[in-house]
Amino acid sequence: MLAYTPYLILFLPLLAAVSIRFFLNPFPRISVAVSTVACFGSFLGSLALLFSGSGEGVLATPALPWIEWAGFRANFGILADPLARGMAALVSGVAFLVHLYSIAYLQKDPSRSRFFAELSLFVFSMLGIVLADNLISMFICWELVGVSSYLLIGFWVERPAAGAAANQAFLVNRVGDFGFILGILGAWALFGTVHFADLPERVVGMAPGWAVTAIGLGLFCGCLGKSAQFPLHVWLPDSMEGPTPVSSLLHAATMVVAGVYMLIRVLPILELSQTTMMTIAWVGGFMTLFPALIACQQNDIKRILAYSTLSEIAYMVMAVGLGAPGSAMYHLTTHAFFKCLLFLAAGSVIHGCHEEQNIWKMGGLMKRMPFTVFVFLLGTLALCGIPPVSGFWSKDSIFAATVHHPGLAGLSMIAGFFTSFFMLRMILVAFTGEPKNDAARHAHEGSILMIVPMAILALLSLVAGLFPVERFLGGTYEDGHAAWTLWISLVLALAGFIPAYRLYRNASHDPLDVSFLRNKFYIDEFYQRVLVRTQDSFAKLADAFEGWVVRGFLLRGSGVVARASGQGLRLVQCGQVQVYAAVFILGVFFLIGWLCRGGVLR
Amino acid sequence: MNFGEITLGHYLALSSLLFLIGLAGVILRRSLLIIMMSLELLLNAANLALVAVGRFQGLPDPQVAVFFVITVAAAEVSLGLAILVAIFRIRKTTAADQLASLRF
Repeated sequence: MLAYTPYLILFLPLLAAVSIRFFLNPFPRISVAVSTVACFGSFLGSLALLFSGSGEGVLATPALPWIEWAGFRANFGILADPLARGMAALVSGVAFLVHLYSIAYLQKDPSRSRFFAELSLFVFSMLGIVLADNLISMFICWELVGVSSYLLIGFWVERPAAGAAANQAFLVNRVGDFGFILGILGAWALFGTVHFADLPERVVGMAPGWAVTAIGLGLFCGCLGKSAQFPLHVWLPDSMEGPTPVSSLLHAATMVVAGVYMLIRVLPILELSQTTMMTIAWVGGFMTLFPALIACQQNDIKRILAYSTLSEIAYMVMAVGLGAPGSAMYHLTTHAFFKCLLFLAAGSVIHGCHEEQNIWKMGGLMKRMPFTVFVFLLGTLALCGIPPVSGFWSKDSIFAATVHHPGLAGLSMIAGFFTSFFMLRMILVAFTGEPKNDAARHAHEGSILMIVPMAILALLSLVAGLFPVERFLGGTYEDGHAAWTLWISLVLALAGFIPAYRLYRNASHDPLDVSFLRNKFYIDEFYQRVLVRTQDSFAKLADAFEGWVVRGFLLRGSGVVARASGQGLRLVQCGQVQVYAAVFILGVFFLIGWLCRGGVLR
Repeated sequence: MNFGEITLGHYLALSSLLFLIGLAGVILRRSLLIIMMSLELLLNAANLALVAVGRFQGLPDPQVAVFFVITVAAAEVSLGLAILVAIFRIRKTTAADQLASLRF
């Protein structure tokens, strides 16, 4: 029975999505219930799997032979190793809490059936990534996750910005996925397998070289897109146009960490090349600081959190690059809890303030939404890595991994300083002082369905540091500890609060004005200028080619030729059947004569 | 006059003659009825050649085939004549040179 549990976990949400889409769409209450119950079922299944008796080992599950062609083999199967089991429980658990929260958050939305169908589709595809036993089915679910992200960002179809953000997210992810698929093809060509379970034995004795480096970097490209790392990070802040539960589940807790999960899955390949590992580590290290700086000058509560998400994922990416996947998974877990909590709390604030997202227009929420502000503070402590909240333990284990790389250690610790800075800035501006407008003055807590998930996540954020996450990896990797990284990072994180407190206590406008941070280092403008304009002019050129050469010359030209020859040949036709017969007979005589001459007929 | 024994050549000559007469009829005559009769001549010229060759080579197959040709030809003629009658009813003529509406 347990052998089939992964399939149950996987297909319950899909069943919910399909049945809502085709049958239950007109009945929002039933749709909501079906989707939530399916997600809860998946969660229970994942828990059963997580605590099942087979311990550290890989659970044997039946697999269907799927693609077999010219030595290429891909099964449709499940790899239920401890990593996948832990991740599945995490994903379905957080997803269930977000389902509960969404029930209240979207209470008045007429198209919430569609929302829950899309959410179920997302849960299915995300669990597909987690449980996939080979790169091909992972890639398919990877794309499905992209589709559901696209659908959910653009859920409010009447907002043009939401549609634009959805398109951007989808297109930017395409760029990363292109590298990913090249990496998959390369892995198959070089190692002869796409199954994760076969990778460790196939890479044994493989000489490092440009080929393994290229494959590793190709796979990392997929992570760049999905986990929104530089230079493909631009889509994640814009994806905040979607409903807040979506930002919480997809764009903070689960989907964006799929890239990190994938890197851990293909780690045997990545470890073949030191170049690949160092590239990953440095991209991650750079990306811890870069968005943290941008976040210091943003004013939209969700965008600030989005930039902090970029920074936190970068910590995980860096940990993978430094060969510490245990730390990465550890931080992934704690981050899933506290970042989901922060987003849900932000959603509660936005909900309470009548869809106001600008922190400068809030203020004074401490008195009106005490519970939300409390859990927000807790999440902030976790995010900044202040002991004893969970984030401290996981960040500490990542800092310990940087012990031999002072450059990376420096980058990521300074990022911790700025993280504390912008988080306290946001809290002081949004939650303290006087209310800046009527919406903030009449802010109120949401319903019990919004409070309960936040309370559970707050508890988890508090204690997740105690989870034996290293069991995810079956005890293959050991976490290191180093005293100096611990103390320096902690001091820097605490130091970040000081300037924020001095600058933003009772501030009614931003005392700082750093335009290149406010404008996100002009990356969007750069893409607009260089990439979009290049693409536009290329498109114009292609349009001119199509208009003049293809349509004008080839298509219209061939039409003119056909019509002219038809007009000419028409004159030959006289309509006299006997003339045709005579010509036919002459032709036959000519043919016979010609054949006789050629000696074919004797 | 003694033409001696009748040989395959005689039959083939007769067949060719019939074929040429039929051909001339098809090409030169104006009446559709005559053209159809000429077509029958063409057909039977071919039949004659076939059966003669079969007879002189001692092969049964061509002779059997001719029966089939005759049978099918009978069906074809009945169909052709029906079309002819239909054309005459509509166009009030059976002159081939006046039935030129397939021309542009």
